[in-house]
Amino acid sequence: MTHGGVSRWVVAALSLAGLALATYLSVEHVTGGATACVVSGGCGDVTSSEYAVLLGVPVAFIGVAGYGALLLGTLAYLGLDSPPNSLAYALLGMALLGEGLTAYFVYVQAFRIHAYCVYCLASAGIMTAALVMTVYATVRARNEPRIVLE
Amino acid sequence: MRLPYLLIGGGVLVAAAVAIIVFAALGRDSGPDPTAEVTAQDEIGPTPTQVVTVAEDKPAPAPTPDEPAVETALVTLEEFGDFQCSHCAQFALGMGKQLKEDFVETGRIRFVFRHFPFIGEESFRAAEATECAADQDKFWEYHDTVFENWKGVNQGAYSDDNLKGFASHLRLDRDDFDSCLDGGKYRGKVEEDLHLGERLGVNSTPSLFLEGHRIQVASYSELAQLIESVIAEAQ
Repeated sequence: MTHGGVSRWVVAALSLAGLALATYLSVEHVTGGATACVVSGGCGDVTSSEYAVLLGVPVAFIGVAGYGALLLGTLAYLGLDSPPNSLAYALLGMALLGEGLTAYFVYVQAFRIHAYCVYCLASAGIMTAALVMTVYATVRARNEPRIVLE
Repeated sequence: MRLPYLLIGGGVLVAAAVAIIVFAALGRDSGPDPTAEVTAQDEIGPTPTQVVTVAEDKPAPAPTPDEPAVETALVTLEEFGDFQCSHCAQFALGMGKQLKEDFVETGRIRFVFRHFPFIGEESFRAAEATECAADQDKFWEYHDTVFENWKGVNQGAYSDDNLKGFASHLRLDRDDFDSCLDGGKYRGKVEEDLHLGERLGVNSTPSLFLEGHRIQVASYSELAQLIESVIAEAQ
């Protein structure tokens, strides 16, 4: 097992699951949600609401970019023989940013739209789990003794 | 060092996700061929034996009292909409207004709005309110006012107080309007429209039916071309 152990692989798997969800929601957005309010029990209300676009960018696209970056970054970390600390902190930053956006979107569903989309909530769960595992992997890596070659 | 393999694998997955979204978007943008003839496959109804057009299902859709030039129109366009649907608001205040100028006011088509309130109770109340406004020959004015005041879903934008405020803004007789809305005079009519839409397989709003055939258009020019072709056939 490479450095970072199982926790980094878990983050990679969670990122992949999040990428799949965000891709599905993006397809929904570009095929239906962008031009119509869809009768789909909650998701239609959410994906077709004004909050489905943030600063001109569909939220689902942000999800694809975020999960894609976290997946590639984590795989890079796992693939390097001696990953730099900066990469570990960059991954931690990505996970924190993702969780911040996730918290905002859950707030929007609960208090602005008053409707929940199960896919969005699943994505929130995945992001939260990814953050927890990323924090765990980062702390663990810091505490691991380093072999210094002289 | 297994970095290249992992990055290539991850890159392929991310690229596949992007490709899926791009293909989906391209597929939607191509849209229906506006010059294509409406075929039997486009007819409403899940099976051939259940084919039913809006016109057949409701032989004489009640025109709204202030609907202009309906008598001479050869072609009927119907919209199933929900007043809480942001895309219905965009349609009404964009394509819909252009449509009225180009086709309805010139008597070339008959445009009927049908209620499909699926988002929440406020959708229902707004729909009932427009029918109450229709009693005073202000259906379309009220319809536009409701959409102009869209502020999201199920958060009080279309509370009864606000709906009555719209009536005051349009100088409707408040006693009659309030009595109509409070008494639920048109609840049944709105439910009839909703059930009609459900029978016709409406699963999103706005849903358009041109001469009983469901159509999907991505732009006003496509819609206009499609209407022109159907008018030409009808003449």
